[in-house]
Amino acid sequence: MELCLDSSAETSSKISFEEIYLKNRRLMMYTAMNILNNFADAEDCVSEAFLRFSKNFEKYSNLDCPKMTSLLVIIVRNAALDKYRENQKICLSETPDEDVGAVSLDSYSFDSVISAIKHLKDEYKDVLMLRYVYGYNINEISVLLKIGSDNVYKRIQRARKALAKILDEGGGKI
Amino acid sequence: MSKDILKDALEEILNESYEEMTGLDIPDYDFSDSFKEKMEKLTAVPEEKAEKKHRKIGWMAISALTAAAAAVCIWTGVKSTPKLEPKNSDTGNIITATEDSTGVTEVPGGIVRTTAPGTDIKYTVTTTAGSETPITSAEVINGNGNNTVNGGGSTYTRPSGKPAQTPKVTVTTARTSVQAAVTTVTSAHILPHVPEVTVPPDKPHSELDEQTADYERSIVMKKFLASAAAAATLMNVIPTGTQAAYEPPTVDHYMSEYIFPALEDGTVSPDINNDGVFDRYDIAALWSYVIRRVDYLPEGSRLVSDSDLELIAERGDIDQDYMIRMNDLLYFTRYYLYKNGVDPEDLDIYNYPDTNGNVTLTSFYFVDHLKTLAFSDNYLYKYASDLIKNENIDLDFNCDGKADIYDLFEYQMYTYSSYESPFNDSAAKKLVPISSITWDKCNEYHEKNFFDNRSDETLVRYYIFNTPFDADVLNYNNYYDYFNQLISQTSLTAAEKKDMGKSLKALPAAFSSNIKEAALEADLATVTSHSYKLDRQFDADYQDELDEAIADFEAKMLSGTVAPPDANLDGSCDMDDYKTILDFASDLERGNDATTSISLAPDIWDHLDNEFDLNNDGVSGDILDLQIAEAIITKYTNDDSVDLNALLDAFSSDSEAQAADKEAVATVNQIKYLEAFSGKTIERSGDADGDNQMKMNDAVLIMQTISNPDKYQLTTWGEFNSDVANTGDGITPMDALGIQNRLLKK
Repeated sequence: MELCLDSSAETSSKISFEEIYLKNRRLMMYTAMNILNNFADAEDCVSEAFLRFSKNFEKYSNLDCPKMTSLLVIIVRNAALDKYRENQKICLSETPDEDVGAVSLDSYSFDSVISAIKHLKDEYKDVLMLRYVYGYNINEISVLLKIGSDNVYKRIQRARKALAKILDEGGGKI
Repeated sequence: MSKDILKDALEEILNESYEEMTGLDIPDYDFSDSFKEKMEKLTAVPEEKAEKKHRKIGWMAISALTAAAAAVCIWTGVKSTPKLEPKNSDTGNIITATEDSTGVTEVPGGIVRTTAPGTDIKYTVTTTAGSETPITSAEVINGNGNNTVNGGGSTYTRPSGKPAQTPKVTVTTARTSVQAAVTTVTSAHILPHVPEVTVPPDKPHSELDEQTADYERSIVMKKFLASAAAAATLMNVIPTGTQAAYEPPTVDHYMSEYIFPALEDGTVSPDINNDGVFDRYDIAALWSYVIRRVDYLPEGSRLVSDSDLELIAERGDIDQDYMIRMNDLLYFTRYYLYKNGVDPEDLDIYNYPDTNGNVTLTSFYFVDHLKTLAFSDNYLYKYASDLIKNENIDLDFNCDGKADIYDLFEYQMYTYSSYESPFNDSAAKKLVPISSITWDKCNEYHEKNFFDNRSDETLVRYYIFNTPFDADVLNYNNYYDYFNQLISQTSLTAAEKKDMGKSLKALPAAFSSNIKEAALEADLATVTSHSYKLDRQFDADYQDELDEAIADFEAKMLSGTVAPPDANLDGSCDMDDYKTILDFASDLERGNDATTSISLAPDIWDHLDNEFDLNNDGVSGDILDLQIAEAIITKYTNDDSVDLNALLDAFSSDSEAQAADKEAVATVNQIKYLEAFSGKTIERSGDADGDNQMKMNDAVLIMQTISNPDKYQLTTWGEFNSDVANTGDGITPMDALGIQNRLLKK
């Protein structure tokens, strides 16, 4: 495993792009392979993910190790999902959705929310991660996931709606 | 609170998932050669890119902050302007003597043209044919009888001690040509003769002059602030040429091809008022007809009589489309400027009295029209350009042996100081770090172009269009360094130097902006993409700055100081605005602009690009502005406690009223300025309540505002119009009486 062994270690801006690449490429390849099961396509996704990552490298290089690795996994996972859909000739365009009201999580326990998030589809989970954990705005997420800004917005809305639904149906109860 | 729970939960999952990943048994993949090659190339790029970006961001952020900070400093400086002493009315600052001319000088060659406007200010304009020898000097005689300017061009000299506005003087103009002609304009209006005019240290001025000086200062400050802000937004100007291929054109193809020939060959007569000559009064006549100021100004304020209006209806269709409208006026005015160029007398409102002999608002509006076109069509530029060339004016203001861009920078400092302290030259000199000699040389030049409020910009344009272009002139740092060098060379104390540096910090940015604009106009530079507006997000302190900016904007918005963001200009603040913002950001990222944007209409794109400066940092539509809007819209869209649209409506109606009032204040101040410098007042209409009529209720309203000011107030225009008695002394019961008297006489 080439991940940071010491997650508390300061990765900071001193880490070079090459180091990040060398440390994470296998995990990213593994992630892509799990979705695509095709070596060449997985390589394409990994290189595509690094390309997107490189566009804002200066910013991302300040992330700590778990967040940076997770970010790369998120990017490559979404790239792989896109590739998968492309291969399946599935045209997934985010269609307009009804407005989603605010999701109140106050009435649920923390563990329920965690459990509910785990039930979410990866793409929903990823977009919520990017928005709320990484604090990226719609535009930045759009660049990372290579989808339109509208789609990012809609995906966040849907993810919150799906989360609310899981919680309402008791899916988040432990 | 929901958001916090969600964030915490997601973080927990992220950490869990990371732990899981570290425990995975991942095979050693044998990556393909093409993949390795691709990644090798990629790994070489980001550091290099990051380094470049770092340099770029540092420069831009500093420049933008400099401009914003300097703007604040300048405003602070404005407020601390020393008060001026009231004027002794006996020692007017206006020229008080002219040549006592009762006749026209006979010149061999015969009189070829005479103009007599037929007003209370009588002029005899005589043009005589010249000899074959070009005239090389022209005598200009003012009230002192001692100002002489040499040169073949049309010249005009302002008497010393008079800061602005055209004096009623004797002017002799020489045109350089083989068949040179001499035009003599002789004032037949005899004014009291003052044998000797001495200029006191403080130029004479009144309280009204102070108000008007404030107005002038505000104009200059707005210009500097706009330029400083532009310096931040135009920083991505890059050079593209080495020498301007042309001078600013004064006439366009359409006009010379289709409009002017009809006037030249007699198909359409330029003598609109049918008095036998084509002069400025023909323009005034057509303007009166087209603008129809007569509709809402008192009848006496008309520049032309009813019979003239009928005449104009027959002769004013310049473009022969069977209608007399604004197009005709614009074409005709341009033709006049094309034939005559700028004559300072044309820009004197006191040359346009109404049919009763009074100078009114109508006169002001007409001159404003003429001046606007003279500036936009480059005739003011041409006037200055010809003056410099014909009189061989030395632009080496700082006397360092060469006329270069830094002379013009010092000239800009001079103009700043002269507007700051218009009545006291020695005080003005202390405001800026230029030498006394330089200041005097600049002043000497400004005297020749005093009617051009933007003479500093005109000079910059002249320089850019007439000298081989050196890309280094676009470098703001040069002016910043030069400015600091000048300050260091002054005899001020260290603390005073520091204060001066702070208070005038916008000057280098403003000058740099003027140069960039001129270079763009001359096709010597081009603006690169707008994408830099997004780069700020990579600044190390960006997140803190954003949080602070959002909180600041939110507080202002909730208190009604600023409007909620209406990005798409549909009059509401909602998710559509959010989408517009995203589209705009996407355009910036892709290098699109208003013309190439696929998602946004050009007006909305321009609005975001130029008018969406939510954090008021001088750069509109940058990443900070967009994210502020994003935060506000997303926060309040689902928050019923705050109605963004109600806030927007309330702000819009308030700001419209404020904007209208600001415009009124500016215009009224400008008129008072002209009155102050000319020593003559414009006739007031007596329309206190703004219904375009003078009736008894106007007198009543004036008395009400005096007796119960808490309940009754006059608008800016109402106050201006009401000051009928002892004009200039403010609103008094005498004004109400004056209106009643006028009504009784009617």
